[in-house]
Formats: sequence, C-alpha cells, structure tokens
Amino acid sequence: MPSIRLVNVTKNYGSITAIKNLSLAVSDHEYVCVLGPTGSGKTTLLKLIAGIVKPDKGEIYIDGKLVNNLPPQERNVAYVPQHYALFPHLRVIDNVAFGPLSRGLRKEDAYKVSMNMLEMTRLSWRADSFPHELSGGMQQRLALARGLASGAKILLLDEPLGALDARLRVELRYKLKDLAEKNKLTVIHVTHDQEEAMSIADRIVVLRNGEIIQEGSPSYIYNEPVNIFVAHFVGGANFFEGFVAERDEHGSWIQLRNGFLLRVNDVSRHVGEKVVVMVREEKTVILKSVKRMEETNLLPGRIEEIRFLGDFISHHILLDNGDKIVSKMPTLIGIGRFRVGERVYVRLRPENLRIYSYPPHGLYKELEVI
Amino acid sequence: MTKRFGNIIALKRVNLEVKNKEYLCILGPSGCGKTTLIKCIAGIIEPDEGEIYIGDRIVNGLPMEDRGVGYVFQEIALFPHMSIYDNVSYGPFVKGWKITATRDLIEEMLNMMKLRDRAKDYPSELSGGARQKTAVARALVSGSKLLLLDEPLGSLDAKVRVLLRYELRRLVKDLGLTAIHVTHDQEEAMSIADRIVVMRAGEIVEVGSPLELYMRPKKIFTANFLGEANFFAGEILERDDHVKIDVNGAVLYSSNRVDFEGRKVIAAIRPEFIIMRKDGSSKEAWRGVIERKAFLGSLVRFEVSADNGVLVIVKKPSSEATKFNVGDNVNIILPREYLLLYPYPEEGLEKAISIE
Repeated sequence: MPSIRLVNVTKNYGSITAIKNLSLAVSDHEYVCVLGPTGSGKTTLLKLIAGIVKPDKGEIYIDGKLVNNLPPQERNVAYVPQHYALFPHLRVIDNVAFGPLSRGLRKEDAYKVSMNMLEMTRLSWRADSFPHELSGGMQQRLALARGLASGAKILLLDEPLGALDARLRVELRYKLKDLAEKNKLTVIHVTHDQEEAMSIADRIVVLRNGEIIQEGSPSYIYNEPVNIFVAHFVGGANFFEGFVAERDEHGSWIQLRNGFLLRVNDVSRHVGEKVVVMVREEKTVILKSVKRMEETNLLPGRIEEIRFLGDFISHHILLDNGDKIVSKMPTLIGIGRFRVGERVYVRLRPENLRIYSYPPHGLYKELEVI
Repeated sequence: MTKRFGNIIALKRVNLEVKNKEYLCILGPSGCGKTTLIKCIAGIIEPDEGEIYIGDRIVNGLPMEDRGVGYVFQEIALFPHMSIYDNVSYGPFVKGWKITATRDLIEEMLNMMKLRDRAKDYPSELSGGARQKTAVARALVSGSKLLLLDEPLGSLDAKVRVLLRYELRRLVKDLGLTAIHVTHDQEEAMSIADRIVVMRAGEIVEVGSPLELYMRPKKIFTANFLGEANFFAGEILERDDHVKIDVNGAVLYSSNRVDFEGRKVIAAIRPEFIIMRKDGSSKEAWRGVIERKAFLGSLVRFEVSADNGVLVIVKKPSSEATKFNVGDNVNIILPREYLLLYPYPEEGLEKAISIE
C-alpha cells in the first residue's frame, strides 16, 4: 500500500493554478525527489500533503486513509519548511525535543531521542546554543533534526539543502539519504537542483507549472527524457532544429541548418515534419581527422572554447553549418588534447540521438529558464 | 590586511595581488572572510591593519564612490520603484553626466545583457536571472574597470546559475575589465576563473588556476573543497623513486614526491582517476565490493568497500558503468601519478578538511 497518494489534486491561488489535476503515489520507504524550476508548484505540493493548505479538488491519502480534512498535527508527517521556522527562544536541544514532548514522551526519553538526532546531524556540540547563534547551514540541520525527532515516518523536505554552501550540500546529501534509509522513512524531497535529485532519489518527479511532466528513476529520466524541457532541465543537452528529409523502415534522415544531414533511429515522424534533435554532451565524440569522408553523422567544425569543469572538460564547437555543439569528456581524456581554433569532426551515433516535435512557441522559449 | 569584528578575526594578515584584466574568484565556505575581503576592497568597510592598492593608488579611507569600482550584491538590490532603464542609468544620473552622452552607453549595456525589451519593465516583473543581469549592467555603466561581485549568482536557481556565469565572464572579458568574484561554489569558480583564491577561517589557503588546484592541490583542504576526493590515512614504508604506503594493511604506491618528514601520511586521489575492473587482479590492485551505485547523469558514483576495511569512492562515465552493480566484486587500482601525498595533519583529517 502506498504511503502517500494524491488523486486528481488541484490547488488554486486566486486565478493562478498552482497544482493542476495532479496524481501521484509514493511507496513505503521510497525516497522521492520532486524536481522543478521556481514556481513549478513544488512547495504547494508539500504543503498539500502536510495539510497546511487544502486542495480545491481531489483526494489525498496517507497510509490508505483520506486526510483532506485532517489537520497537519494529525497526519503523522514531519514537514521541514524552506525557511526552517525554528523557535528562536529555545535552545537547540529544546527545539528538537519539542516534538517528542508534545507527543507525550517522558522528558528523559524525549531528550534521549533529541540528542540522538543532534548527533546524526552533527550538531550535538551546539545543543545549548540558540538558533541565531548558528550558521545558516547549522540552522538547516537543526530544522532537519527537529523533523526527524518528531518520530513521523514520512518526511516532507522543502529544499533541505538550499541554504548550504555548494560543497556542504554535496557532502550532506548522502548523509540525508543514509538517515532516511537507517530510519526507514518515506521521504519527499523538493529541490530545483537536478544534480542533487539524481544523486539520491529512488524516483524523480519532474514538475512544471503545477503538472507532472515525467517521473521515474534518475537513469530513466536522464536517458529517456519525454520532452525538451526535461532533457534540458535534467542534465542539459545539445539541441538542433531540423526537419525530416527522408524516412525508411529502419530510421530517418533529419536535415539540419544549411543542409547537414543526421541519421536517426526514429521512424515515427512524417517527412517534412519540423523536429528538434537532442544529444547529451558526453555522448559525442570529437575526432581530429577522418579516414573516410562518406561516414554519416560526422559533422565538421571548429573549436571555439574549451572549459575546465573539474572531472570533465567541455569543448564548445561551431559546426560548419552554423549550429553550435558542446562535447564533454572526462578530464584525463580531454586534457591538452585539443586547442581552441582547431578544426575537428564531431561524431554523433544514431542511438544517442533523440527526436522531439518542434515546440509550438519555438525552441528558445521551451529552453528558457532565465 | 587584517580585519576584526570584536573577538573574531575575519581577515588574518591577508596578502593578495590581483592582475590587470584577470577574472579572479575568491572561493571558500561561509565565514571564511571572503565577503569581508571584497567589502574592504570596495570601501564598504575599512580594514584594521594593512593597505589596499587599486592600480598604484592607496585607497584606504577613500569612500566607495571614489574608488572606481562597480559592486554587485548577492541580494541584487535594484530600486523596486524604478524601471530597468532607470535602474541602470542611476549611476551616471547621480554623477551628473550628460543625458545624451550616457543614453548610448546605457542602450549598449542593455543590449549586451539582452535586456533591451525589458527596459520599461519593473524589477518585480523580471525573473531572478534577469534582475541579476540588471544589477551587473548598473554596476558597469559607470565605467569602472574593476568589478566586484559578492556571490552574484547566489539567489538564483541552479540551472540559471550555470547559464549566467559564462555570460558574466564573457562580459568581463569583452569589456576588458578586471573582476573579483566571491563565491562558495567551487564548480562556479572552476568554470570561469583565471585564478582561484581558496580561503578558510580568515586566511588564504592556496592560489592557482582551476586546473592546478584541481589536479595538484598543495593543501588537503583545497583537495577536498574543489571536488570530491578520497583520503586514506597511512604510513610510509619506503621512499625511493616511488613512495610505498601502507593503508590499513594494504599497499599503495605514489610517484609523487614527499617533501615533508615523518611517516604518517594522507594519500588522496580523485574518484574519477581510479580504475575499477571486474577482472585482472594485479599486485597493486585492491579488492572490494560495490556497496552503493548512484546515477549522476554523465557519471556514475560508486561506493566500494575495500578488503582492507576502507571505503573508496569511484566515479565512471555512465557508458562504462552499466556492467557494475551493487554486490559485485571488483578490483580497484589507484594510479601512482594521481595519488597525492600530504603530511598527516596535527588536528586530524576530519578537522583539516572540514568545511564548517
């Protein structure tokens, strides 16, 4: 039986529909990341499950029970909001013990549980401090400890790592997952950071404008993005405009700008249809020279920029037809291999190319995140 | 330069040289003093000791508006009641520049930032990224040659941050400016800085190009801060051409020099430099079991529990990672040239690399 189930839930704020007819099921012990840009409805989704706001349409079930009219404190979920909502007048340890004490635990037990949680979040050494004396990152962990101490088996986290330094975010995300696993929790973790979602989620739910666009395992979302938005938002990719020039039973030929042709394995589009070709940056190969010019899917161009990204090196190439492509390779392979200005060939294997219908409002609008 | 706030020493005798037309990133965790440093350069606060030179002019005591710097705040700080155009033209307007002369400059700046169509809009109508671009345009239009950016991308979504940071660098380079960009995000710093200054607890730990700091960090803190790294505590067994190290009973070799005394050592290596195979056990390989596998997109991250009891993080490109799964027995090889050696820190490993 799923821990949490939303059925056709809609939430409006005046004329704005924050959540549009959304259905979602989360299983016991599952770690789900809800991923989407600012304004996609992620926080509203959490608030609906927590009971802080009520849906205008649809039902919400927690552990099989309909909870639409149940107030937050009776839903047995721990909600950790984005801006913590810590009690400023209570010490760290008292902030954490608040939940257990309210639930009726004996003082001794409540404080034992609390110290446990503080140790898990590496805050036990600040147990006697007040929230305002802690750094932003520590306050965030305090909010987390408080949520964990509540004893609820369902944790709703709104950008739990958002206020932390980039490096700390990476370190703590794995600890967060560990904590959830050890305590056998069901977690819904909301974030705009796709790298964060991919590294710890059992399942990712991609949200945009109040609707679920795609859901699945990190590798599924990454390897088979259902549309351009998902392909762009989760991982980033190269996109080319073109149209279907020819189609046979094994694949199609897509004509890009200025006559460049690409062979793809898709057979579902009509000849003449305007499409967008997508390829991930690391699924491209750069060659210095080619032996046989008749080989297909080999695009000539010139390297405009080389960027060092730590574990990867990316090459920004201006193809001879005017399109631009970014090719990413592991640092050890790419270091010192190519020069800016060098002429190269980019190989794009058909199995690494995905085709999408040309978006009605134009490609640029679809990719717009800024 | 030294700066104190009560008992806290925010900057401890910091020495720094920024080259003309350089894009310099000051990188460090919260509380390391990077914001204090940039505020001293800007003139927002004054140091307690030390001198600041901009060009060959000493600027201590000089008010901010006379230092010739453009400053961009993390909170963006646009005037909410003024249009984008008016926000950007504020500097010249206040300075009393001729309206006709500045109009071209402002138009050019708006064009460059792709804000021309939004000139008549108000900040509340713009996205975070567009607001930040406006703030940068405003900082630049007064003609300063030195741009100071305090976590300029901090308030933006991850995706927007990645896109905007390259625009920032391109703008600075196109205009021939010098930029000092403060950030806590090492990926951001590595991707756009000519040089990075790593700071911690009021001091400069290390300075270098992104490549230098990533491939051959001189300090353990840098190694851990600029990306993931494995750290193994061990003892030096032999120092010849190659250094032989014992880690929990297993052996490692490094072809890197050891220029410090003592037998206790920390060996460090980046996860993506480690070779992992199912077959081919060799004298130098450690055997282990894959405990965890996380798909990160272009990379897959493995946690391998080695036979000597040590946890090793390994990263592989996704295309090569499909045949490795949790529970598999594997051989891992740590190539000698990528195994870096550091003296064992007095305060212990955890404190030495701690980000807080």
